[in-house]
Amino acid sequence: MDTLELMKNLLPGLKITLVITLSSALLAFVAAFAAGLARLSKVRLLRALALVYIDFFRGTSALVQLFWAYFALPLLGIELNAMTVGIVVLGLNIGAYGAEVVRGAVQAVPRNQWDAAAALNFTHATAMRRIILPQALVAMLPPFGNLLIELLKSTALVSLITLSDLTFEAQVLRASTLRSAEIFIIVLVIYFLIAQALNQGVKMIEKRFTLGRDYGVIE
Amino acid sequence: MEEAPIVSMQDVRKRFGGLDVLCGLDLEVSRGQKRVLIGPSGAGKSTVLRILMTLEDIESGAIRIDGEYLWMPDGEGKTTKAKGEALRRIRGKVGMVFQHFNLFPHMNVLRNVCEAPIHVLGLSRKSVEERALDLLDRVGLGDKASAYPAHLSGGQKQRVAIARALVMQPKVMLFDEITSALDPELVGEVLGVLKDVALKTDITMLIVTHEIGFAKEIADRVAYVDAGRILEDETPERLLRNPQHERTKKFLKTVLTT
Repeated sequence: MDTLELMKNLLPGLKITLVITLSSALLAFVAAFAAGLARLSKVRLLRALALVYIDFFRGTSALVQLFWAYFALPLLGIELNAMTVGIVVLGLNIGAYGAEVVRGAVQAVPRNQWDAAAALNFTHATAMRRIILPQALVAMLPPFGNLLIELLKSTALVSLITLSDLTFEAQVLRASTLRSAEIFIIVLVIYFLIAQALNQGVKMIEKRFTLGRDYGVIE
Repeated sequence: MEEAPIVSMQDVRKRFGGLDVLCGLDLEVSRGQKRVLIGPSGAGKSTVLRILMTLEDIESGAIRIDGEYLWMPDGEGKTTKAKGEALRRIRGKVGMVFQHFNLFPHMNVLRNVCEAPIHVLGLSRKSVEERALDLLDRVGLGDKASAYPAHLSGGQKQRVAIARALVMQPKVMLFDEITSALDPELVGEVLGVLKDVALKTDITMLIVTHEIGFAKEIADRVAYVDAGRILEDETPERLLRNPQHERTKKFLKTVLTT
């Protein structure tokens, strides 16, 4: 088997890794905004719920969360396929970190922007949506980029709940060919290249959102 | 019968932490009046404006704007702020220009001006943009409509901020030390615009400034604020030429000699 053929054998795994990464990223994004904004809510219950979610997912191991959702939840009558578990658990896990990014970035928008919005009679919700969040987003993007790469790398964990992702396929291939060094170098390079692509994507978005500004959110 | 004042504050008290900022301040501003507030820093001038803009709460007192209670006392020392629709209706009658401009950095000049009329008043983009461009012309920035705030000078930013407040057609405009953050050579262009607004519109204006000469030029009345109260409230000629209180004299002496 030559190198090209090795790579070909890894392709199905790559596809699963990409699907999980992108799907959980979407979920993480939604969860991050929901929980991050809930943390800033005037409603105490929302704040409390968000905090429980964030602390739980940040405070426990992602691998154990995966195991728990895949092996323990069925005992409670909730059976999800491995793919769903992988996407939901990783999405919620990274979303918990993202929530703190959202909260921090919103709080970092200068108070005077709220004042200006209030002076123009914006409601709180409209001010948040049109004035505060677009500015906060600029500050969120670099840490979001970090989290996205973190997420990509943690998808390797799903190989331990029976999903045949890139890492899983590599293991299978290694068992059958015994060419460990070569295979894992290829896998490292593939992860690296995906990370670079994600990086570029985030950079492009950043450029779009900093239009007209020479420097971040501080005027 | 004399017309009711558009702004009336009675016995307003405001505390920040343990510090009394306003200690029973009374102020009445009649419709169309150009009222200037002067006084040492920390006297509470800016706080008066921020309270009227609904940005700060008060401990006690009554405040009415255009006949409606922003803060209504219950007669037993407590006072409650207008809420919901009433609060927004009152807030819609007031506009403010801030010392540090507070432009929206993620929007170009035209959008800074159009954002509120479109998304707060629900007006059509087309009609708003026309009016916004007119206003920008009036403040001398017709050619800067597509520039971003980061690329404007302080004076230009402040003129955009004035246009942004004017486009909402408030009945009362509050100007909070709008030239204090500017380089000296840029003060003139902003005061020029302010003067233009003062002379050509019937908007009621409350202006906090340290530009005494300017105050003399456009003010109908000048109030001297000290330690959370209005000590003197007079026509500019009288107040500046013949102040009654020792503290007013002392203050004027300091600002006029520097």
